[in-house]
Order: sequence, then C-alpha cells, then structure tokens
Amino acid sequence: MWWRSASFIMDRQQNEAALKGESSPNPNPNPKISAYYETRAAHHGVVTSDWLAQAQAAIGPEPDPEPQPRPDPEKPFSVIDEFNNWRKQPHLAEAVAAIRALAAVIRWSEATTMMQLEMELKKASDSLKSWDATSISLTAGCDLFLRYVTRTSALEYEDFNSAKSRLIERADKFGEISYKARNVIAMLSQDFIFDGCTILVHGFSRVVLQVLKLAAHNNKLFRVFCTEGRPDRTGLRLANELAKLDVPVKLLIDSAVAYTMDEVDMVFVGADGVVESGGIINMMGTYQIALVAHSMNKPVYVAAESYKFARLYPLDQKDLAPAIRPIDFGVPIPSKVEVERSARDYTPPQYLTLLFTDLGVLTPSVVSDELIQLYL
Amino acid sequence: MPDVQTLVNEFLNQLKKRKIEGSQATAKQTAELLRSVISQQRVPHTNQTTALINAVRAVGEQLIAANPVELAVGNIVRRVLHIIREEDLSLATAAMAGLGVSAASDDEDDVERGENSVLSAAVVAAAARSTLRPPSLQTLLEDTSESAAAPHTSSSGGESDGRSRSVEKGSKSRKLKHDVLEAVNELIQDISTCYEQIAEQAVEHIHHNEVILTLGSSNTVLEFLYAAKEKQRSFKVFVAEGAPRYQGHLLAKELAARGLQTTIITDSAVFAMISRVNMVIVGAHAVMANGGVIAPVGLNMVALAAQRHAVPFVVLAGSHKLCPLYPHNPEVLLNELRSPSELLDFGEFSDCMDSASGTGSLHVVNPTFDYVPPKLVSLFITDTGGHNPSYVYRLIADYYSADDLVVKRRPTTGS
Amino acid sequence: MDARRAPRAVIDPKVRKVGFFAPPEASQSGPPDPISFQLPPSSNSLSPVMIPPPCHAAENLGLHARPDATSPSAEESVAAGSYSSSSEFFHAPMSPAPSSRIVLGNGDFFHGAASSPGRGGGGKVASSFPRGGFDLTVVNDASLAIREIEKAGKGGGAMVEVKDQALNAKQKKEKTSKAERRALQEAQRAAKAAAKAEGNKASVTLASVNVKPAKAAKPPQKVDNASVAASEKRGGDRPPEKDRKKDVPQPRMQYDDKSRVEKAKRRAVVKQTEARNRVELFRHLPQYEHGSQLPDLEAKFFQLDSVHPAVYKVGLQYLSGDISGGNARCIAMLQAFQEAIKDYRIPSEKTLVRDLTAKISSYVSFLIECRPLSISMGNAIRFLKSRIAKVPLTLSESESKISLQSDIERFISEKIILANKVIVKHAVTKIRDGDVLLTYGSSSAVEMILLQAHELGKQFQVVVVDSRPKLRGKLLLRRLVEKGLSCTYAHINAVSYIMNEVTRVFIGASSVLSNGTVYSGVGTACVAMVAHAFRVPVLVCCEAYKFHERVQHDSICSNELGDPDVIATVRSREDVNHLEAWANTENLQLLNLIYDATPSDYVSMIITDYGMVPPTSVPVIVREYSREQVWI
Repeated sequence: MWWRSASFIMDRQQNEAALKGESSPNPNPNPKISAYYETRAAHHGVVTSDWLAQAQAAIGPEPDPEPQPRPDPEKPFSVIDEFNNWRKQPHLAEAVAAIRALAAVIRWSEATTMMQLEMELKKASDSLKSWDATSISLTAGCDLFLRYVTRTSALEYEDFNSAKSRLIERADKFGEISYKARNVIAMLSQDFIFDGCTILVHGFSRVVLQVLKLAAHNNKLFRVFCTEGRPDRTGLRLANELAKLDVPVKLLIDSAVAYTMDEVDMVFVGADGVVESGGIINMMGTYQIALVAHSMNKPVYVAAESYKFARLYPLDQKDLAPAIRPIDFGVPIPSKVEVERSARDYTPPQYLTLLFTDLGVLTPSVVSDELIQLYL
Repeated sequence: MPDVQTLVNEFLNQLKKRKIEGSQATAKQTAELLRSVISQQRVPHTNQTTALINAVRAVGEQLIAANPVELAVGNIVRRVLHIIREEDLSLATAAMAGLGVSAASDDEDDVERGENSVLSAAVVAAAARSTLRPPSLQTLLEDTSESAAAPHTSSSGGESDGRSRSVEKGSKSRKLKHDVLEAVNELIQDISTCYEQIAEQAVEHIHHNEVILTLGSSNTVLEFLYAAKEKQRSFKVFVAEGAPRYQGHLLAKELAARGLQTTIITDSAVFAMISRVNMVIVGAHAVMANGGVIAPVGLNMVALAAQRHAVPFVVLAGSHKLCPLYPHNPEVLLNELRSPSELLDFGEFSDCMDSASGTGSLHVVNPTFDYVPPKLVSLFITDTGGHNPSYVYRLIADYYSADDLVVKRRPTTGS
Repeated sequence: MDARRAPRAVIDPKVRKVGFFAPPEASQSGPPDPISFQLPPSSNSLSPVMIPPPCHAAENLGLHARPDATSPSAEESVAAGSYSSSSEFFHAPMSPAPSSRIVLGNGDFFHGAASSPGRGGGGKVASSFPRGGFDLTVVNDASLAIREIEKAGKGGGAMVEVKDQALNAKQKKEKTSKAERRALQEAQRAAKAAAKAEGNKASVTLASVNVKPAKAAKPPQKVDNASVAASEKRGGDRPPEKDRKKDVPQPRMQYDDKSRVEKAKRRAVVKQTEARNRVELFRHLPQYEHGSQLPDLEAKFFQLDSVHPAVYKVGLQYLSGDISGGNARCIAMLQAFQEAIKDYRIPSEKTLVRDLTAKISSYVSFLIECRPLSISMGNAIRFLKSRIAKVPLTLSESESKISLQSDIERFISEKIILANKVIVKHAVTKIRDGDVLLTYGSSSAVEMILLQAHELGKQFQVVVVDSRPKLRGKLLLRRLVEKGLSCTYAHINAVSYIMNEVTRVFIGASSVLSNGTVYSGVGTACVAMVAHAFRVPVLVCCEAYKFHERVQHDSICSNELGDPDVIATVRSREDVNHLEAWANTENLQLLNLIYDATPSDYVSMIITDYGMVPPTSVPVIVREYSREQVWI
C-alpha cells in the first residue's frame, strides 16, 4: 500500500503526550513535534510496517484515548478544533484550512462592529499561529486573511452584516482559489517543460504533481527523477502517482542527487513557505539539491501558491523555528547519539531560478515586492 | 481598411524576409503600422475598447508570427494594447468621477443608486488596477482576481458608456481613439529618442582614463560613448569585431572618426584583454522579464569573462526592448540560425564531402543571438535610468498589461 | 621586469633604513627619512604575536603599556647605565611607535629599565627602544641571544661591524634579489637589536639576561645566525647567489625599453620596420610591419654567410607563415640545426663547445628576428645547448657532431613524436560513444586523437570552433571531413550556443606554465571559460617538452603580436570590409594577439606523455622533466 495513513499519527496532543511520557528511541530535547510535518507525512508519506511498529512502540503500547474535546454547537467555539477538522482533508492546503477556520470564527462571532470582529479574528489567528508555530503556510494564510479583512473594512462597507457575509463568502471561496492556483501554476510552467527533458523533484508536492500531471496530459515527453524524501519517504508516493500517468520515473535515494545532476535539465520543488528574501522553506534536502543544481548551472524552479508568501526573513538555517519530526533509522540508536530531526530547511534566493505562482512567473526578487505591497 | 491591409502585408513580408535590421527600427515601424491600424479602425459606439484591442491583436498576432525572434514587434504590440487599456481606464475613471459628483448632487433623488455607484466605482477601480497590473497578493482574495480581466474591462467600458450616455456619447468615442493615437505617437517619439536619453547618463558611468570594451555594433552604444566623449572624458574603447557580421568594424570606424581612441580586437582576444578593461558596455536585442538579455552572438562569452575579472557588464537598452516574457531555453527558442555562407564559402567543402562517401557530415552553426543570464549582468541602463536585473520585472509591469502577455490565442512562447 | 619591480626597489632601502638606527656620526648612513617610519608597522604587523614575552616582561607590561609612558622610564635606565657607545647609537631622531608593539617587543628590556628608579635623561635614547621594538620584535629576543655571542667576543664594536657590512652591501648593489634583501634586513636588525642589548646591558643584570634568551629566543637565534652569516658572505663574493639565479627564467626582452631595442636593432639581420599605430598596452612587445621584410631578406640571401642556409630557409618559412604550429616549428628548427651541425667545422684555435654554442645562439637570434620563439622552441634550444656543453672533450670533431645530431634526432622522436603517440593513447580512453567533442583552432595532437578514435570505430561528433583571422580550424575541418568524421563548424562567438551539446573539450597548447596556466592560441581561454561555465570538462593535450617553469597569469605581460592588417580585411567577405583605409585614421588601432593564457581552474586535465595529470601537477612535470634531461 503506497499511501497509508498511519494510525499512530493522530492529534498533536496525543503525540506530544506520548513523546513526553514514554521513552522514545532517542531522547528528544524538544518534544514539540511539528504538526505541519506530521500532517504532511500522514497525507503524503509512505509508511512501512516496521516504521509503524517502531513508532507504535515509541508512542507506547496503547495510545491512551485522550478525550477529544469535540465542539458542541453549544460549547464555546475553538478555532483550533475547527482548523484541525479542516486540516484532516488531504487535498486541502494548510492555509486554506486556516482561512476556513477563521471564517468559522466570523460565522460564530457575536461581534457587532468591524473593529470587534477584527479583534476577535486577531486573537483567533494568534492562537492558531501559536498552536503550530512551525507551519509557515498557516501563519501566512492567517496573515493574508486578516490583512484582507482590514482592507475590506477600509473599503467602508455600508453595513456590518453584509460585510460579514461577504468575508465568509470569500473565505469559503478561498479553497477554490487555492485549487485554482495549482492549475494556474501548472499552466504557467508548461512552457518550461520541453520534450526530452529530465526533471528532478524532491519529496511530494501537490503543486509539482499537478504540474507534471498537466505536462503528461499535454503529451510532453519527459522523465522524472524522484528523490526518496526521507524520513517520510514522500517521494515514493510521487513516483507512484507518476507511474500511474505512464511518466518514466527513476527513484533516487536522497544522497544520489549530485551523482545524477548532470543528467538533469531542471529541478522542480514545491515550497512550504516563500519568505521575504525570495528564498523558500521546504522539506529537508531542498537546500542541498539547490546548491548542487546551482553549482552545475541547472535551473531550480519552485512551484508555490501565493498564499504561502510569508513575512519571514531567515538569515540562515537556524534562524527559523525548527520543525521537529521523528526519524526512523531502522535500528535502535544509542541514547548518546544525537539526531538532527528538523524537517525542513531554508534555501536562499540566489539558488532559485524562478518561482511559478498563481501571480505569474516571478523572479525571487518579486516576492518581497508583493509582500511589501500587501503589508505596507 | 484595404490600404491598411496592404501596409500590414508589406510589413509582414519585410519581417519574414528579415529585411528590417535592428530592434529599434522594427519597433518604430511596428508602432507606426499599429497607429495607422488604429486610425483606420472604425469604432462602434459601444465596446470601442474591445474593438480596438481586437483589431490590434489581430494584426499583432500576424506580426509576431512573421518573426517570432524579433521580440520588439511583440513588445510594441503589447505596449499599444496597454495604451488602449490605460486610456480607456482614465476615461472611465474620469466619467466615474463626474458621475459620482452628479450622483452626490441629486442624492435625495435616489440614495441607493448613489451608494451603488460609489461602490461600483471602487470595484471598477480595483478591477482596473488588477487588469493593468499583474495579479498580486493584494488582489488574491478580491472578487476581480477570478473573473477574467478582459471581459470585465469591456463590461465596465460598456457600463460606463451606458451610464455616461446622458453626458456626451459621441465625443467620448472619438476621444478614446484620439487619446490612444496621441499616446502611440508619444511612444513612437520615445522609441526614436530613447538613445538620447540613455546617452545622457553616460557621464555618470564613464570616467576619465577608463578602458571600455564592447562587441559588435549598436547605435545606442555609439551615442553613449560619444556623449561621454562630448563631456570631455578621455577614455579608450576596445571593440571586438563581432564575427560573423563584423559590425564592430563599423562601430570602430565611427568612433575613431568621432575622435575616440579605438582599438579593434578579434573576438577571441576578449578574454585576454578583459583584465585591463574597466567596463563592458554593450547593446541588447531584447531584455527578458527575468533580467536575462538576448544579445548579439558572442556576448555570453564576454559576460562570462567580465564576471571572471569582476568587470561591470552594462547593458544599454531602450524600453522598447523590455520583453514581458520569461525565457525558457532561450538559447534555442529565441534564436535564429543565419546562413552558413558567412562562415564557409559556397562549395568550399564540396570536394571532400564527396570522398567521404556518406560517412562524414558537416554542419555549420551560425546563430544570431546569445542569451546572457541575469546573474552575469551588472546593470541595465534604459531611458528611465539604471536598473538592476532583478528589478526588470517591475519595469515590465509598468509597460504591459498582464493579460496581454499572450497575444496569440495559443500560447507557444513564454508565459 | 624592471618597470614592475621598480616600486619595490624604491621602498626597500627605506625599510632597511628603519632598522638602521645608527646616528649620522656613528655610521655613514644619512638620517632616516620620515616616510620610513610609517613602514614598519605594516611589514611587521605579525611579529608581536610571534614573540613569547619573557617572564620578567610580563610583570612590567602594565607599567609600560603606553609608549610615551614607557620611554621616560626606559631612558633613565639606559642613561644610568651610561654605556658609552649606546648613547651614540641612539641619537637618531625618533618617531613615536605603536604601543602594543613596544610593550611586547621591549618588555624584557624594560624590565631592566623599570628596575632603576631614577627619572630624566635623554629623550632620544629612550625612544630608540620603541623603534627597535616595532622593527621586528622577534629580533629583540634574537638580539639577546646574539648579544651573548657578541658580548663574549667583541662587545659593542662587533655590532657596528655587522651593521656596517650590511650597509656596504646595500650600497654596493642597488637592485638586490629578494633573498638578498631579506638577509640584509635581518642582518641590520640583528645589528640594531644587538646594539640595543648593549644599551640594556648596563642596567640589566647579567643573570636575568642569561636566563631569558635561553628559553624565549631559541628559534630566532638560528635565524639570526644565518642572517649574520649571509651578510658577512655578501661582503666577499656571491657565488651561491649566482647559482640560484640560474633557476629563475630570464626576463624577456621588453620592447618598450628604448636602449635595449636600439642595441638589438643594430645587431639585427632582418630589417623590420615598426608598425604604426601600435596599441599602447602592448608597447613592450615587438610589432613590425608585415611583408615588407621578406623580399629584403630574400635579396640578402647570399650576403648572409653567418647564417646557415637551412636555418635561413626555416627563418623565411617562419616569416611567411608557411610553418606554423608548435610542433612543426620546433621540428623544423631542430632539423635545420641538425643540418647546420652536419656542415659545421670547428674553426682553428677554437673549441667546439664554445664556438658551436655561439653559432647556435646567432642562429637563434636570427630566428627570433623572423618570429618570436615559442616556449617549446626555447626548451628545445636549451636542450641542444646543454648537450653541446656536455660533449666530452675527448671526442673528435666528427664523433661529437654525430653524437649531437643523434641527440637532436632522439629529441624529435622521443619528446615530440613518441610523446604524441602516448598522448593519443591516453586521450582516446576518454572518448565514449555518443560523445560530442569540441576542439578549438587546430592542434596536431588533438587531430591525431580524433583520427585515432575514429579509426577505433568510436561513434562521436566533432565540433570545430574557429576564429579569425587565421581560421586554422577550417583546415582541420577539411582534414577531418575528408577522413569521414561528422563535424560541426562554428565561430568562436557561437561557442556558448554549441556548448550545451558538447560533452568534452579537447584543446592543444603552445605551452603549459608552471602555475598551471595554459598558454595557447588566442581564444582558447574563451572556449575553456565557456566550457567551464557549462561544466564541460576541458582536456588539454600538451607534450611535456612544452612545459615551462615560467609563470604568468594574464595574456598581456608576454604575448606575440601578429600582423594587424589581417584584422582589417575579412577574407572572401567583401561586403564587410569597412576598414580598407584604416591606417589613415589616427585614433584607430588594430590588435592581433596570437596567444592567450587560460587560467588553470578552467582546465580539468592535462594529457601529457607522463599521463593524465591535473593542472596543479605541472610544476611536478617540469621538475621531473628537467631531472630527466640531466640524465640523458
């Protein structure tokens, strides 16, 4: 089974409790597991049975059934639960889930003025952001929506209720936008995939898959090198999806990138977040692939929806909150051995060639322009 | 109408036969042709913008197909389209403003209508902003980002037209065309004087006793260097001859005639000489949206050499050379192979080809252009000032509308 | 060389003067000029770190942290010591010195100074310490050591002697080699430091002095001794220097040096007229009008009895360009010399070794007049001369002639023909089926490689890149196409366009220099650079006899200028001949460079008869090659 949602990956609370309480294979200095990457792994990752077993062992014999605070209609509304509900849908992007959750805030809000509503939203988005500080698109989605609300209120709608309904409507439409964005990106990138080219992709990205799907649909002749994408092995899933489309695929282990780079014509990666500098934050390994590609003069294309643009400016790898993921090495690791468990890295803009976004094809320098315009 | 068609056909022929040399001349002639197309176009009372746009598009499509490598044609077509949209917008907003005032004056009469109009004015303004500018994060959540911009514009045009019916209908239609023609004239003016504006900046970049290297020939470069000379700067110029066209010889001759210290070097000596050069100044064929340059063949080599020795590589380009397309595989797709006769004489190798009895083969590669990636370019000097390659995207946003990028119905080049 | 070295030569004496603190009345040196005091901090900036501050000094560091504070206390002690010659020594006008250096450098001296409580005394004397300190602090320790030595023998007078020697040496030779200069400086420092030590001796207790140098100044002591030795040697003759000099390649003739050019002209057989409108940057290279001298020379054929006809013929061929290409030129020259040696008769009262060498030299200078020698030819001539020099005196005239001829024969067959075969053998292993090989210009080695690979049945494509004005690639292209290879022809400007498809770049070289620079036909560097940018490996094929120990990192310092007129006219392209009357235009110059220097980082591999080596191993090949030459 290629795609199996691992049962152990449940709610963050459970995992955290388990990791805190039970002894994991390695002592975890920071028990805060990145929920974003957990979800990603759950949605896109390939989970082998032994990994599952090990993870189960790590969590404990029986994940204690923590009482899930299900939100009654009567109960006080929790934005996080709302968000988690949305988040469970594999095809829904994190930012969309965040915006949907915020829309629910508006829906249940008892505010009577725009100002109150904004305050409420701000609070909700802050709690969302602090709930998972590692997810950039969550943060970016919240910021984008808040910004939109303030801008809409600036437009001076005649009456509060209509403005409210308009906001809800927009938020509901946002999922559509994000879906549409993928298609736009796929369209834009078609020109860059020429017959006979070899494309290297890293990990699993819905946008990249969409791009390749469309290219295959357009009868382009190309071949794809997929990295394995450890530790979640998300690359295997992409390879599987592509094989279904009859695209020639070659699987590489993550460390074979430099070896194969001279055959590659372009590198396509997705992004978890696009930061102010025009660089991207993406799954671990992107940076080294970009470095290798840069040193061999191969173009690196990033496919990312514009709602992933975030007002962050990391200077180096350690300048962003680490997103911790459990890593399975197949063998027990002595407790003295430290394990680097960050799930993502930062790729500076000078190693990226172009960004394909729903705003068009952009050079990395445009990202800052867009962000400045939005948040000015 | 028929005489426009003959004009168009004539120009198409010239383009196809590559009779027009240089992007400036091409740009100018394209603009002139489009001007006559617009002036000949009969505008209906409603949807005049759409009518004009469609007319220009129809011609533009043909022109671009005639010589897809001459990007200046496409640039000018898009510029003209952009001008039409801009003029329409300015007329529309002017009409709106007038309407808003009138609505405010008789607000007691119909409050709802007034509110409506104010609201729709905001919407139209937003729509207009989004049509004239590429989509941005700002517009992501707004209504207009989804509805295709072009029909919206037309509808807004129709709407405003309908609403301003009470004001003055006949004059408006004439006004739009008149304004567009004015603006196109301005564009033609700009194209023909762009090198003067570029040359004005020469003093800021060329210092005393510098050594400048250039390759091939470009009028802009000639004027630029001469302008610096005029300002009493004494400097030396190395001119690489730019085989196989050897236009460097012409440039060198012209420079020497104008009193500049000029040295002709072979193209192969570029690397040898670059270590003694202070600045490379070259012209371009087209500047792409990512800051890359389509330039006469050989310039990528020069740019690499300049990078090796940290010599600034300065590209002079009039704004008509700014192309809103992102290049993909530009070395091949945006290039043109010229005749082998520039390298080998006809029949020069026919004797030994026979003896080869089919096993051997001989190809001659004689491309016209080189693609210089943006990281090798230090500076662009355009008629609007100096710019970094990373800022070219913004210049392009100023000159072109997002939905004009694809003039052709089926997108085959660029985004 | 002179022009480039000049600034250093000017500066150096000043540096030396700094070390030189002897007052006018004590020695013959003038007062140190003010500029000199600015120099030492930069030249010795590292020294404070190197010196281990002696234990005593440490206690006193605090006391003497500020230069102005230190000097007064220091000076008293010296004054108190009242060593007669020391006060004399320290009379030179002083400049304030950087504090850190003083403290570190002179800490040990100050120890003595601090121990004496008195105040007052000559300011001049005091500030001499800082100066000694910042000159080179290592020497301060060293000086202590040397002081012991000197003290035991001669006392203060010895120091003066050392210094004087140094001074003499300096005045004797204005342009000294770097090594010499360093030795000089060291000697002077030693002298000064020793003198200072003298000054200190009075106040510092002997015991403390003895302890300190023993542990602090051990390594410097060695240096110092060496320098003293060097400076003393200089007083006499300098045979070792001469020996070493031989290793350094002779500077080439610089044609912007008027007097030397005049001299050369008087000797010249070939009357070359200088070109007009020479390029300013290349005034140091010879540039002649082309074509004017050939008829002149032909007319003189019978008058020039000093030049052997075979050599004469080769010279004419060089001049007219009939023989070109490194190997061809070299072989032609060697065969002409062979011919000349065959016809050679030892004149009466002369030895073969001396006379033949002179004769060969005159031939060579004739050839140089025809066309500047390539580096490979220089190497071949060097080989021949060394062979002549080693001809045993016991051999008869005919025997030695035969042995020389066979030597030349062997050189040609082993170093050129066989070497080429080895190169081909190596290079062919690097060609795979489906490769696209790019070559630039025309290299005999590369041509052989391509033909050999084709004969072996490898399937590959060849891209021949060519450049004006010689268009030698066209000739290569013709030969390849005739052999049935599938070829693509492009101009050098199109190299970025074609490089996408290329998998290997093979280029020949005129010479490979010791820093890995490949000296080859102009344009090679461009091709290698583009290949490097496209990450295509660049393989340089070059026989080991073309390697040279000279270094060069640009293409301007040494090069050859071709006939500028060929630039102006484009063969068989009448439509573009815009420059027919270019010479009339005052501001227009044409430059026809022959060679350029490819930086070693563009080169992936050098294929020689020693195998495939990285460019970093060129000095190794040069070393091994010269050793082999000795064995022959």
